[in-house]
Amino acid sequence: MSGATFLAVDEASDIDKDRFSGIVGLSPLSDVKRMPAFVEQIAELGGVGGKNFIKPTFSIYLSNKESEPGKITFGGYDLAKYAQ
Amino acid sequence: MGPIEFGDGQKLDVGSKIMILDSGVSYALIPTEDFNKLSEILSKNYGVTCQKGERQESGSQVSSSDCKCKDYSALPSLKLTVMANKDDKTGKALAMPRETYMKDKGNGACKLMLNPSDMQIGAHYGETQWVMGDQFMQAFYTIYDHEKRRVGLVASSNTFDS
Repeated sequence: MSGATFLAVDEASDIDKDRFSGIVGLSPLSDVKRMPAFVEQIAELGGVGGKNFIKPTFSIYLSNKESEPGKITFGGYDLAKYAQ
Repeated sequence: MGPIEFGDGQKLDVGSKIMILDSGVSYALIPTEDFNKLSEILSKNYGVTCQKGERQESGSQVSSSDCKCKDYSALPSLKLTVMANKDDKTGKALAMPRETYMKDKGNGACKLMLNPSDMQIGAHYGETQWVMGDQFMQAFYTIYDHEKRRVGLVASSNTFDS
């Protein structure tokens, strides 16, 4: 995905102990006009499939086993993989 | 949200009408009133004894309940009916495996994964809600569809004993 807008942070406190290096907000609509939400952006920019290919949808699969990671799918869902 | 049905057919009418999915909490937060009713059924019909929930005035700091389970493997799955919106009268039944509400700690010890909380939030201030966390989302694959303004819940590919 190219042409995406994001916010750079050069100072943060209280997150140094956490094992992540960024935050992605998944709110459907941004309340700041010049900064569209990530979910709006993936739909508009279209990622690998081109514009309008990806839907403003995401889905979350949480594993119940320590050995298996969870998955977030941006732009759609996969029932064959993650549902019964 | 509609009623919750236990394995033995006993129904619990839930006072709360709103369900929230929150991947940021490990255990569910449910209104104290519902928590007490549910604990009572678990105690009477399934030999589970837990500490009684206390009303929380504010904040999300709650302690989870340590319980004693006479027979963990006899705990039923809970059939929870959820409605798509206020006009949906039928709803869809979701079978919550016992692992979504009770954790087996061995030797008859168990932990209730539902905590009492009466916190009120933003748009739904004045109403109580069931906040479902990771314990629930491990059993249900969730789909967030911004275009059609809906959330999909479908039984996850994870396997459970109950």
